[in-house]
Amino acid sequence: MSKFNSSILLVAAFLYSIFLSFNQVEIIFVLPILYVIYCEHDKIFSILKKLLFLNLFIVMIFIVLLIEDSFEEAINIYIRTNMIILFNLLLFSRSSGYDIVRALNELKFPTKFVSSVYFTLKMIQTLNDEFKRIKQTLRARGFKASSSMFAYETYGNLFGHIFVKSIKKANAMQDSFKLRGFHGKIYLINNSKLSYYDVILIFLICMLFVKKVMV
Amino acid sequence: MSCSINLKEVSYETSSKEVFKNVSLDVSHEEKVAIVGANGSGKSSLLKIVAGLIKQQDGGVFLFHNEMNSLKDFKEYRSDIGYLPQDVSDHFLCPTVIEDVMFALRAKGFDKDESHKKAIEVMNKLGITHLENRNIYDLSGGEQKIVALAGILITKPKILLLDEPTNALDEDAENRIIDILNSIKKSMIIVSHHKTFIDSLAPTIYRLSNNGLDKINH
Repeated sequence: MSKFNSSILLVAAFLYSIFLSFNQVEIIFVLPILYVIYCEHDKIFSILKKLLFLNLFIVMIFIVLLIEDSFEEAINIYIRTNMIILFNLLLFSRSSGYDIVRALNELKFPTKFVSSVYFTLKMIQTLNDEFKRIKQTLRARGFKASSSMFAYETYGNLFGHIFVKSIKKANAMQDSFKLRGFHGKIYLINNSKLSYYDVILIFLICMLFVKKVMV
Repeated sequence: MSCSINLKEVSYETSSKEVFKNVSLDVSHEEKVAIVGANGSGKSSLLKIVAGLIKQQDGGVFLFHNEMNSLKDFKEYRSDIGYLPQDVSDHFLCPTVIEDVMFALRAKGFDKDESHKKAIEVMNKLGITHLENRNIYDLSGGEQKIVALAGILITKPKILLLDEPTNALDEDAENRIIDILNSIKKSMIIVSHHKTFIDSLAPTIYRLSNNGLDKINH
């Protein structure tokens, strides 16, 4: 479970990303990252691995900027992008996704929006599980990825299967809505409390706001 | 004894095949009826017809002696019918156990505290209070079935429609479900492949085939 309150996570991620997007990189922006690394130190290697993978795409942006603009601008954007992604990955490293739904609900987002996000996440999870199951089946049945007509047909069948499955799931969910009296709202219990971890995170984000926006 | 469910000469077909025809069934108040049959014989479709999720081509469906002429007619009886789908993950509408069990009452307009109290009562009865704050998707298959059952029982339905309630469960989980269902005094239609499960639960068993329902002596 995350050490942070889910609403604080969402607000901190949003504000940090906005502040850093519209400012030059300074040492003060590193402080929240260092703090979250301290809080989530046991997850740091898996997060860095993810960041490294995402860098495959960020490097492309860097190259484009390098060609079209100056080296300083390209490196600045490269570092800022990495910092924003690292901060967000660290914050949400322990999130199941449903924490975001809870946070949206606590932050009083419209009920239909909260329900839509929840059911979207549920659908993604279901289809992801299905995709993993199909991958295991392919492996168990001796399928090897290659560039052949058979392989492409198999991929086509796989996506067709997932498409059909998603329609069936959506129909089953619709049945459940009817049977359980759903009318656009899911009812969540908001009982999350603020901890010292949250207070320090809020303090660091407020410090950025004061330093970069007000001063 | 008054009848909760009557099916009269019900026939159902999909676009590709005739699933079953001339199915007649009477389920009395607090009677438990089991339906067995081969794969594709239409057991789940029959339950969906009784639940008002799909419409039969021919015949009549009566709930508490009132004919259901269209799917809209079922609206009035929604809280009287509890339907447990084969894949219970389709049933869940909230992320944690307590939120999902409370859902039907909250949707009916009950306040949070009252719904919470009633949810704890039902969960206590089913022995799952220790799961209260767990994420539903982290539970085992057996636990998910019992949580889904709690979410159904909280509205005190008069009819329970259970589609393969012990599907893919181990023996312990199956025995737990048997104990729970045996302690519930409601009209039930149970669809299952599990002979031992059905034998220990339902005194009346029918076999569904494309020619209709036949009573099996056991």
